[in-house]
Amino acid sequence: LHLHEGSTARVSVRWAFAAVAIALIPQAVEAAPAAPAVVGDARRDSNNGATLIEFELEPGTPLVVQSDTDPEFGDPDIAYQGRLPSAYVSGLPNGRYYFRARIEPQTEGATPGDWSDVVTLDVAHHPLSRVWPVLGVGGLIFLATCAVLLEGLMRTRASRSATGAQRRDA
Amino acid sequence: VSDGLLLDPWTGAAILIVMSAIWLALGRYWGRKAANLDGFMLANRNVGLALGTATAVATWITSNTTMLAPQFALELGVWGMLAYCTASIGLFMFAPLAARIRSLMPEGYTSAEFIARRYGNVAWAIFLLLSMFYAVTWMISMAMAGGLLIEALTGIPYIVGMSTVVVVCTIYTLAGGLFAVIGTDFIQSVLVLLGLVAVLVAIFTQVSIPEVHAELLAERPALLDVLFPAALMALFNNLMFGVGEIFHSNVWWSRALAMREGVGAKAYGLAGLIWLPVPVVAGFAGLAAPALGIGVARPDMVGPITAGTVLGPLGSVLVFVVVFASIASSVDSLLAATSDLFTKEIALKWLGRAQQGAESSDQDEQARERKIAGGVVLSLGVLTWLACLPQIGTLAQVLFFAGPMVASMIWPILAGLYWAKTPPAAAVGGMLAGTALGLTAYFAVGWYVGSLVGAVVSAVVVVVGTIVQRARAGEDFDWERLAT
Repeated sequence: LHLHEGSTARVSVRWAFAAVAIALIPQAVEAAPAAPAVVGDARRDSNNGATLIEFELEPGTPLVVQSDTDPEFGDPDIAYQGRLPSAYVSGLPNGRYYFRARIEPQTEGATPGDWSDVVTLDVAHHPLSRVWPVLGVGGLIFLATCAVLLEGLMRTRASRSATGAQRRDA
Repeated sequence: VSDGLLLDPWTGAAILIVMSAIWLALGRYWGRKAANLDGFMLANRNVGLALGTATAVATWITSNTTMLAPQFALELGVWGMLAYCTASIGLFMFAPLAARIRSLMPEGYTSAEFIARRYGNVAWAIFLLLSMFYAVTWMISMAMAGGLLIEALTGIPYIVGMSTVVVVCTIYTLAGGLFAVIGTDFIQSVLVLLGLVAVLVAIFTQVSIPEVHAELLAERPALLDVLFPAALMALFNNLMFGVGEIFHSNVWWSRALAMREGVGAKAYGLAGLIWLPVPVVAGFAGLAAPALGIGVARPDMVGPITAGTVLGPLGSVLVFVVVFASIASSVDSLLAATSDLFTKEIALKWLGRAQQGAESSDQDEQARERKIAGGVVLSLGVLTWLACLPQIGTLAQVLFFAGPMVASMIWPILAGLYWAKTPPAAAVGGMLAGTALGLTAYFAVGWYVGSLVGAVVSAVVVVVGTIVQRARAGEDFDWERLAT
């Protein structure tokens, strides 16, 4: 193969670009971190509308957790954005909710990480028919405890005054 | 606040060293007054209103109050916050009991001693077992929580933080007994209350109540729901847990016996009033977090993180001081009160028997008892430290299912203090049946009924037992037996 000077220069430039591109491949791979692994079950139930979603990550890793009622995450909200490996959601009404997380890019323009597995949360609050008996029994035992306490207090006060009066009479 | 930490480890360590040095110096200073057993265990039975109120407030403001109240608010909403406030009802209800205890047992030392004299040895053994289980579990979980919190807030390794809490509290309790505990409690309660007020003011400078309301309504609507089922069910269960804790625990009895005559009722009543708004303030920090744009990664960290965010770097130092003070005020109280139980109910009984016949002066005897009490504090401190080493994460859960146990002791104590007809069998039956059925309900139905069922079953057994005794025209208990 015979190449003249100009073509040699062009080949050298191409090789240089190729070398730089090859050298950048591992960095590009590093810039797209793996998806965070979910700790615990990916399907959950809650009767108080709250759950703690944890991920296997080093503390300090920038994380974003999205939530949506759509499994395709068509209109997601941010449930958590920060550097701790978990998100706590609460106060959710009855329904099904989906959550996913990824590591945020450390530098501007870098590729974000892959999304984690989706966590599905089914919220079904206790029925009120279960609440009233618990409240009723609780109220009764509380009132009974107060009544015994007040009756005892008044009786001991009365007996103390009677003893005092007897002493004064004597 | 960076990388989820409130302070860097060096600042955290500097605060720990300064505060530990202050507690140790005060313990040594107050320790001069604790020459005999009465001085060591009950501060010479001469605690006044200010110190009495402060120690009750400080003991009840545990790390749970500063950490769990915001978590409760964020998990169970406004009702959750109010449910936590019901713990102050225990203090209000104990106020008349404190006066009654002081007048019936002017020479008494422990709650177990009352049970032994009022109901006999079987009730005493069951009570001691339940009470010790609760006290030791509570103390270990508090010390563990201390290590975990210090690590979470500053990055200081768990073992260092936990050891600091246990070692410092053990040394100043050993040096000064209840004098040191009550004295440090006073300073700790002032620090905690000032810190909470500063946090509340700082939150209101950055966000208004309508903004907090709007944010919660949009993102976490159930927290504002008047009919939030889980929160409503937690209401009376929490209340009964709190009342049971205070009614039975020697932490509260030893303070009632340590206060001057006429002080107990006022001190506990005032303590209830001072404590009442604490969960509201701490809980509001949790509810305000979303409106302040603070990401909630963990519910138990939301309080300190919110406080650190709104107060800035200086505020972070204040928050850490508050957290350390609230942990120390609970660990020292538990250490002192649980050691009192061990000393009076086990160590002195056994060693007293072993030494029967040996002639010694009153002064020698008091010095020997003081030495034994010190040995028990030290041993309990070492055991607590050893138990905390494995960092068991489930211990708080163990404490939580102790609810039925403590709730089952409410009625035996209440009836024991006011009803002369209540027989020992009713107290024993109440404690056993309440604990067994309460625990069954806890596991079979849910956590929200465990304490409630324990209290209800125990009440029924105690009331029925008293009625039967009355119908049989059984003997009245002679109250004078408590005074001897």
